[in-house]
Amino acid sequence: MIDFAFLADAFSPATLFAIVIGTSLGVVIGALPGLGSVVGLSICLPFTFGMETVPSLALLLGVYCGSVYGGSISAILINSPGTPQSAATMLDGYPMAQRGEAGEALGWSTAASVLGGLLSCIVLILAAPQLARFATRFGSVEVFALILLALTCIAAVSRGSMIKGLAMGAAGLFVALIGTDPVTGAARFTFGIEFLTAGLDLIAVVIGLFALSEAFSRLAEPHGGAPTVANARLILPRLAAWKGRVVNLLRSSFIGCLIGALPGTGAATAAFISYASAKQASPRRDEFGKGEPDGLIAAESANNAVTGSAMIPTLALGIPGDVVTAILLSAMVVHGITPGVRLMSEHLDVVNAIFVVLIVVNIVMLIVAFPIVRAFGKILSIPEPIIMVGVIVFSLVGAITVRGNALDGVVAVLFGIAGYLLRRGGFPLAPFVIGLVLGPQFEQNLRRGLLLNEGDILAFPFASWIAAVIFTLTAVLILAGPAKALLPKPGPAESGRQ
Amino acid sequence: MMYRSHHFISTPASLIDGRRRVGLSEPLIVTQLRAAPFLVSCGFTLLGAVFLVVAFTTGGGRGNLAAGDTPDALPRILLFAWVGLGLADILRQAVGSRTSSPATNGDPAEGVRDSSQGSALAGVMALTLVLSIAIVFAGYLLPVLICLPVILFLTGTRKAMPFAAAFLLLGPGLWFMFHHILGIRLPILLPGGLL
Repeated sequence: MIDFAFLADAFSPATLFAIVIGTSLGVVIGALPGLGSVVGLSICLPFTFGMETVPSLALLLGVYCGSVYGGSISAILINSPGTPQSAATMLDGYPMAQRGEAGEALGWSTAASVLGGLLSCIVLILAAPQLARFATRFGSVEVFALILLALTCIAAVSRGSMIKGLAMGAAGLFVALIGTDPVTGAARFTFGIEFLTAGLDLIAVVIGLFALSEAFSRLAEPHGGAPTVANARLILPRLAAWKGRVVNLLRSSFIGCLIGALPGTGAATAAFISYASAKQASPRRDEFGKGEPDGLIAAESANNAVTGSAMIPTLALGIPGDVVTAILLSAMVVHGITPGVRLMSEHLDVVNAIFVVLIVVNIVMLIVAFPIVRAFGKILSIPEPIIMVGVIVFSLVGAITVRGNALDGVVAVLFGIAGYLLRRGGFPLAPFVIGLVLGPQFEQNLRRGLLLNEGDILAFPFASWIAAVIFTLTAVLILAGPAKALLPKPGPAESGRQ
Repeated sequence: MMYRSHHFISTPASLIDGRRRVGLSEPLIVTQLRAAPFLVSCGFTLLGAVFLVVAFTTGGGRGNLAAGDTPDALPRILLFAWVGLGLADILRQAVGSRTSSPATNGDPAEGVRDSSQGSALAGVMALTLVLSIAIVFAGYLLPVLICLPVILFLTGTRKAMPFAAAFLLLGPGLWFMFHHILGIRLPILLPGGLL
C-alpha cells in the first residue's frame, strides 16, 4: 500500500515556490556562458539551509534541470553553449537562428528538453525501486566493491588521463578520512588543529573546487562581450510538425537515460551520441549541421533525459554518478538523510517526493522559458567579471553558512586555488569529489568487510557472485586503459582517412 | 590544427582565441607549455608524499607497514596509491615530452598568458583568501566592504554605475538579505551587535 502523504510535501506552497525560483534561476545560470549546473548548485546551496528537506531539494533539482536546458538558449542565439551539455545543440540551433528561425529552434529545443526530461522521470520511477530492491542484497563487501567500481568508471571516462583520474579519486578518499576515526575516535591528519577534528566540510570543498576555481578560470581567460540578442521569442512547434520526429525523440531520450545511469558519463556524452545516432537514422541526414530540427531534438532530449536517470544510482544505491548528484546527496546529508543502499527504504517519502518534484520541474521549465528567452538580451548585458565576482562572494557565503563556521570559507578558497591549478594541470576534479562523498562509506564497508572475512582482503571477490561480478568489471576497466595503449596505433595515412 | 604549426609559434603577434600573443621565443613557449601541467603534477605528488611521511611518523602504526586494522591503515594505502599514481603521471609526462616533437605538444594558447592579466588574477586570489581569513576575525560585513571594491577593480570593473551596483548588491545587499530576509546569520564582529 503506497502512502500518498509525500504528495502533501511535493505540492506544498513552499515546494512549488522553490521549484519556480530554482528552475528560473537554473535556466538563467545555464544560459550564461561559463556557469554550469555545478556552479549554479554551489551558489544556491546556502539558500536551502534554512528550508525543509523537500523544498530545499526541489530548489536544487530546479536549478539542475533548468541549467541543463538553459545552456541551449545561448547555444542557439549566440553560438556559445551555456553549458558543455549544450555543445551538440549549437550544431543545428545556431544555423537555424542565422536563417531567421531562432524562435522555432528555441521551440524545438524547449519541447525536446521537456519531453526528454519527463521520459527520464518515468524511467527513474520505474527503475530506481527495482534497483533499490536488488541493492538490499548488498553487504559490506558488495558496497565496497560498488564504490570502487564507481570511482574507476568516473576516472576512466574523465577528461584527461586515467592515471590522473585514479590519483584524484585516491586523494578524494584520503581527504574524506581527515578528522576523527569513527571507530576508535583517534585523530587523523589533524596536525593538532581543533577545526580539523570534525573533518573538512564536503560542501565547502565542492564550492571551492568547482565554483571558485571556475570563477578564477573565467577571470584568467575572459571571453569578451557576447553579441547582443534583442527580442528573441520562443515559438513552440505545432503537433503536425512532430510527424516523423517522434521516434527520434524516443530514441534520443532512451540513449540519454541509459548514459545518465552510468557513473561519470554525463549529459554532454549523451547529447553527442544521440546526435550521431539520429544523423545516421534520419532520411534528412544531409541537412544535419545546417539547421535540422532533428539534430536539436536529439541533442536536447538526450541531455535532459540524463537529469532523471542520473538520479537512479544516487537514490537506489546512494552512489552519485557525477558532481551534480554528489552535491544533491550532500544537501541531503545537511538535512539528516544518510546516503547509501538503504536510502530508498529508510526515506521513501523523500524519494517519492523527489520523483514528483522532477516531473513538476520539467513542466515549470516550459512555462518559465518564455519570459527568460525574452529577457535573454538583458541578462547577457551583465559584464562577465561582475558575474564572476558574484560567484566568488556567493561561494564564500555558501561555504561559511553550511556549519556556521567561518573557517570553512578559508577551506573553500584554498580548494578554489588548488582546483584552478589542478584544472591547468589537466587533473579531472569529478573523481576527487566522488571520492570525498563516498570516503566514509568506503572506509566503513572496508573495515566491516575485513572483520567478516578475518582480515583477508583477497577473499572479497569471492564473498558472493555480486562481489565477483563487480570486482571483475573494475579490473576490466582498469586494465582496458593500458591494453588500449599497447594496441598498434593507426598510421598517419590511415588516421587521415578516418 | 593550424595554430600548432611551427610557423605559428614563431610568429610573435599572432592572434589566438582573440587574445594577442606576447612576443616570446619558441623554446620559451614550449618550456611554458610543458611546465604548467608538469609542475602541477609534481606539486600534487609532493603533497601526497608529505602526507605519507606524516602517516608514518605519527599515529598508531608509527612506521609499521603492516599496521593491520588501525585507523591509519586505509589512509596509508590511499596515500601510497596517490603518490604511486602521481609518480606514474610524472613519468608519463617526462617520457611523452621526450618522444613527441616540441611543436605538437600541448596547446600554445594554454601556455601563454598576458602578464598583467596573470597578476590581476593572482591579486584576486590573494584578496579572496585575505577576505576569507578576515571574515574569521572581523565578521562578514567589514572585510567585504573593504575587499569587494578592490576585487571589482582588479577584475576590470571601472564604470561607476556597474561598480556601485555590484558593490551594493554583493556587499551590504547580500549581508542584509541573509541577516534580515532569510534569517541566516553570517559571522559577526560583535556578538549580538550590528557588525
